[in-house]
Amino acid sequence: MKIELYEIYRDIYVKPTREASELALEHGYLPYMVQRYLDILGEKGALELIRAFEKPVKPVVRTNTLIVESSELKIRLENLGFKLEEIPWAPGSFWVTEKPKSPTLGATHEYLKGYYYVHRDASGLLPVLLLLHEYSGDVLDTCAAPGGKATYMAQILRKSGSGVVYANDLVLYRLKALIGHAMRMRLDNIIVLWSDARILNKRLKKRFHRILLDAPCSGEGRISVDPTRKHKTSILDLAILIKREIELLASLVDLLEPGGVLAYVTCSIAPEENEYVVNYVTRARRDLVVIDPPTRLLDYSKGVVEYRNLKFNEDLEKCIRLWPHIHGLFGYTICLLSRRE
Amino acid sequence: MPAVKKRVEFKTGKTPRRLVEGLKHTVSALYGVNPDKYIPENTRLTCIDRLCIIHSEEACASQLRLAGIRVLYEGGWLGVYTRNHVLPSTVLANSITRERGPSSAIIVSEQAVKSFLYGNDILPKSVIKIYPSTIGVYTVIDQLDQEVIGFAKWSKRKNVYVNLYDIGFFLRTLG
Repeated sequence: MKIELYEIYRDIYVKPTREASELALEHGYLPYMVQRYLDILGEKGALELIRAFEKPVKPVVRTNTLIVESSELKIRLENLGFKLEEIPWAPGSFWVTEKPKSPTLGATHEYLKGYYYVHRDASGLLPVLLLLHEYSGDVLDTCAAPGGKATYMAQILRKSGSGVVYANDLVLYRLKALIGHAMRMRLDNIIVLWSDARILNKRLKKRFHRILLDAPCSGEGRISVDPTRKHKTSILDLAILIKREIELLASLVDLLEPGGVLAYVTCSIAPEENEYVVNYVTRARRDLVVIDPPTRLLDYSKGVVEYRNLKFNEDLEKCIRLWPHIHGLFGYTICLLSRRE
Repeated sequence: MPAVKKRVEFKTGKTPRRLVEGLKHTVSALYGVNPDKYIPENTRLTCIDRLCIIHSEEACASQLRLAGIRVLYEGGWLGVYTRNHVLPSTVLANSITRERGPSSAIIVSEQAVKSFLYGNDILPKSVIKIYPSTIGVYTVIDQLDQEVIGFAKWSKRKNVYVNLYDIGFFLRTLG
């Protein structure tokens, strides 16, 4: 598939209105981002979103149920001064609502013993639960480091039956952390690969029934923990990211078994990085279809099918969107794709 | 401030025979078990900077290597090669200790656990119970939940149990 950067740039270019520019200046954002919020959410929704980005998110403790019962972990962490609240749609995971001054969540003895993993936010649990719903078997996690989703999948697969997580990433120092988590959490069903995910289809002979592509993105959904994202990604930078996201998705489809499911995930709320990317690839790959989530774990928002002058396939409404001002989580988008039998 | 690129050095390969034999010898000496029951025939060594990890080799990973893919880690964690010692992993030590009860071990107090997990040595007064070791190396066990948290070697000269490695390295080295 030939992907032209200028074509993407032309498609996503936006000239912000005066209203968007003023609002952007006031809140420290790039104007094109605020223009997008106004276009999708209207003025009231855009302001709610911007306000939500200023609120801290609650970190999450995910129990390693292979080693410890979640009820026991809760008691042990509460004895240290943490307050935990069970996440109703993710068994064994807790929101941390209060923390003591010491120790930090990543330095307790329980953490070092592998009893749990710390997620910045609960949104990352969702693609794993959807992708592995009623599934047992091997999984390819293509951009896996530092390993939150890979260790979660390995844990679920070990508990439910069999399956190996092929956890790949390109960034070595992040892979070091992934290996550390696999060892710490005593997971023996993770294989750690070091490769550019875009060339895996040329090297790997194996095909997978489940693939997770948590694509490196602008991280626009994580502004609450990284405010530099308000002004880090210019439109050209965004076009470059989109090009890479399309390349990743287009190449990884080759590794999907017919009837298999690929989760395309980003921690971005930009339709350009999500519905646009999926639409681009599904337009070229007729064997690829967007599917409904197998279960409804929470009240997600629908995917965007029309945005400014861009019109996407109506199936993209099946994508899942998490909005910080609606769901109280990171901004997050998940599209489940299946390859026709 | 400009972002600093973090450099990390990886080396992977078959575990050298002397390290496998060393690990088997240590496991046998510490726990009085047949090491072949716990350590598979084929193992790999992954060195990250100066830390070397021994882990099992998986058949599916070998196929990936043949296809030219770099596999950095796979299978179960079996041991560590550090400070000229080949030691079992805490996972392996936990598994054997649960199966057969403690052996070549020291059970340490809560305060000592905290200090040990920062990389410090253990004072004799912090040891609640000793299970004698023929090789001077001890499995360090947390009194609270009987979990193995690392290994130490008795030093007569320093009069302490010298920290050989502890699970705090997940943060200090791999974090």
